[in-house]
Amino acid sequence: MKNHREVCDLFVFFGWGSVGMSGVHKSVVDVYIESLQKKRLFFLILLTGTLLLAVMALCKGTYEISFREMVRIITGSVGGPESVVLWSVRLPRIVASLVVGAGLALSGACIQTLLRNPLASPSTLGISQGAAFGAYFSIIVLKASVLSVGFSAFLGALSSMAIILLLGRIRGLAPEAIILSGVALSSLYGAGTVLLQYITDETQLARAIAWSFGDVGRSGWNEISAVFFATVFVFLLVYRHSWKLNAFEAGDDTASSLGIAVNSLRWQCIMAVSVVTALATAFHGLIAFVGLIAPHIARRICGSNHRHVIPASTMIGALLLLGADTFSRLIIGSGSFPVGITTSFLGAPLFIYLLVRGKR
Amino acid sequence: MILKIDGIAFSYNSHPVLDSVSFSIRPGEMVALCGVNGAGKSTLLRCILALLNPTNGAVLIGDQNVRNMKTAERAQKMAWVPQKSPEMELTVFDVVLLGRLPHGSSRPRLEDMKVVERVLDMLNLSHLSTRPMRTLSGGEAQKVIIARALATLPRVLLCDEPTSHLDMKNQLDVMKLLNRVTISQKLATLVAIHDVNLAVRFCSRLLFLKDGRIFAALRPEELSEDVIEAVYGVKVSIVEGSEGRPLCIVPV
Repeated sequence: MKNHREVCDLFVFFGWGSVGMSGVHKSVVDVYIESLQKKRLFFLILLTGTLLLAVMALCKGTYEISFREMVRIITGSVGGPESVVLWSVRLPRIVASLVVGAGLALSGACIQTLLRNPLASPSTLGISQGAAFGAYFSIIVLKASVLSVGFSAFLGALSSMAIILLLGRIRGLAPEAIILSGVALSSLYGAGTVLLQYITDETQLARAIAWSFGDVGRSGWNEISAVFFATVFVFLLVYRHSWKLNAFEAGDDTASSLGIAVNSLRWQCIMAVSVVTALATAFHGLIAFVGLIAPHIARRICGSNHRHVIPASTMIGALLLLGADTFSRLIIGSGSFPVGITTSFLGAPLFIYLLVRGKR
Repeated sequence: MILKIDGIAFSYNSHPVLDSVSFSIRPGEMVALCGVNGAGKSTLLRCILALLNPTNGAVLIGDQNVRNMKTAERAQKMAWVPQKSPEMELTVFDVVLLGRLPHGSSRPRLEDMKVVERVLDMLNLSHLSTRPMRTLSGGEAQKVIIARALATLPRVLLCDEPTSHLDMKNQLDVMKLLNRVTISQKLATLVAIHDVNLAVRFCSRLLFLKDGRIFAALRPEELSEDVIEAVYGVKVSIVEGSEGRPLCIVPV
């Protein structure tokens, strides 16, 4: 009997369905497992769509490369200017879009769940504003290099997270109070940034404002790798807790009564996703709304089970940012239009959509 | 296993709420916890669940102190039914499946799903399994929350005013359901409840909290107008039904 159960467990684990599913009468468990399996098709479509878009983005641009040429460049049989464009300009930009979009969306999905607020996003905790202040401080006060600006922005983002963390852990803040603290910190960092803008000269101001435009084309492989590894690590951490994250929807007391160390898990996840957001923002500037929109799209398509919401948000975030960047490059700009401006334009329609359809 | 509450005391910022509360509940027994608003009913439930730390006293399940249990073990033995669950997007099946979280794996096993299936079947909720929680009526949602609690296969069931936002029919349905599962699953059930009429109808004992203490602990047939007046400050008349059990309590 035990062996039979283990075999059934394996079937479910690998998504092969339960034994006896093909019968005329479907049990509640069969229906549930089938609904899990149907989501696999969605993930397959999403993955295919992302790959196709990535291939198109590699080929299209000011310098056109045919699909056949692209294959030959990748296999190493062709060199020349096309190879330089592909390896040094387009590929880092595309990978950066995918990685940053995935990281921001993953962070957004987690923060919305952990704070039980559908309008929360990585910027809710003041991380983006902290990063912006750090970058402005570095450019205007320290007159720093590009790399130091990224480091300073990272420290600014982490300082915001540290303050929220200290308040939360010492004073035991409820989710609502965490959001309000984030709003207060955002305002504080925003005021600091405006003050720096006021006291500086036009050259430094232009440099600082250029930093704040979210742009996936400015980072090198080292920066992209840092965001990539942080995103993968946090994804694995959060996905491991996806069942427990479902319990957060039922409220803290219920989650505690189900044996979950609510505060510990909440802060562990907030710290992890804050690092991802801090890295993404520090190296690529302010990219708004991807962290807000992607989890909403994921929930509309996949439902609310975090077993699906976490991977779906991550993949949709990657697809969205790649789509927005490709759109910026091909339609709006002349190859280097900052994607942050495009994503920001998505914000207003989303809020209106949420208001019209009701929160979900 | 017997649930034993032994001299529980609790204070909010040096304001005492509970003072040496003691009682016990046998398996298969459903006990009502009554009292005015702010009497400490919900606080007592939270102390039992270890969501709050009592300043004194102990909660025992069998002969084991709840404080000495690991979090998961405690969650396996005690399940909680809140007054009202927040609006959730999860499907009914996923919500009931949460009841299996204390049993320790990182993702649901087939065994867990089978338990959920049995519980949904037992409570006649199978037809709702694919519905998102937010689409259910108040009564249906409360039954699903009870199903989630039962999916843990607990020994103790703690309910915090489970009928307070329901209409009359659903109040009766939910209390009947709690009574049925208490007996069939041999649970020690404690229900914090405002409606004394429902309490005398479905519970085998009533505990009245007043000034942080158990003012009266009695069977429904022992309930008198004087006890109600002393606890709630309201004059009532008790209409007796069969076997001396109160049929209803009417304010006069």
